[in-house]
Amino acid sequence: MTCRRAAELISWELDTDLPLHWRAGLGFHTLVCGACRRFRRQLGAVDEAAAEFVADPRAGIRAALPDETKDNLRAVIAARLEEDS
Amino acid sequence: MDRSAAAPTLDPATWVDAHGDYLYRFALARVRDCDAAEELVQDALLAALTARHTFRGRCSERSWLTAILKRKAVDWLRAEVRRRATREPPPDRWADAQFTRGGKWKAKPDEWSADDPGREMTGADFRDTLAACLEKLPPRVRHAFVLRHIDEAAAEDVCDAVGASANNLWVMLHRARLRLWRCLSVNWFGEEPGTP
Repeated sequence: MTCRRAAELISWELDTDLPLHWRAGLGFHTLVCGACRRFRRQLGAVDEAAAEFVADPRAGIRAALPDETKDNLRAVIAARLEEDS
Repeated sequence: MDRSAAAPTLDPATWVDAHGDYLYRFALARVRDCDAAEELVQDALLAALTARHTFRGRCSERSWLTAILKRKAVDWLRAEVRRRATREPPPDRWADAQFTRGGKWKAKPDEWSADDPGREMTGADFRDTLAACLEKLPPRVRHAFVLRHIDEAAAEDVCDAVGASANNLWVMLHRARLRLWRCLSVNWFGEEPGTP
């Protein structure tokens, strides 16, 4: 198994259960290849951090809905409520 | 008004002021496109207005609105990935360039200085770095990656949703992770993989 292939499998095992023969091949490769062993650990950490980031509503963004959009929305909602009452 | 005893109720007249910015950030974090995020918030609030009689008070007003927005964001991401879809993943020179012709690492992954104080993968600075790395992904690859993590659906369902074969989707997700990994190695851990 090449490192290129191992890297693919290391990513895919984060998405799905690998078939046994791939898992076994990857297990052997990472046993003898320190670089891919590190990559596996680091990629798992990257994926976990990115997953948390994506799932977190705060997500490091401080932007606000533009005032014009807010005004429009307030007006549309008020009109609808008026209609329905 | 004491609402502690009663189920939470909806107050659409206050939605924009009470939740507008929150919902906008929620959308922006996922679609990374200001115009699209604005539109999604508008769509979600109007859909919520129409559906407000179905609110049963099992969750807070904000959670309910966020759930509606999330469905809109998932639909948007799916449509974007599908719109940009090609039958075969296009060749990716960047990913190819990480390996030699024989399939070995050109620059071997190096140990991260993850134990150094201040290099933990948490905190506001890390989030900014991660956000910047996500920003640099090619849009379709980024959308697929975000979708994979917010859609809760198994990867196989995501494939159907975006009209990609499983293989195509996995290739995109792999490319996304490989780029994020490299970007964080360099910009957060300050290491060019392969340097001694």
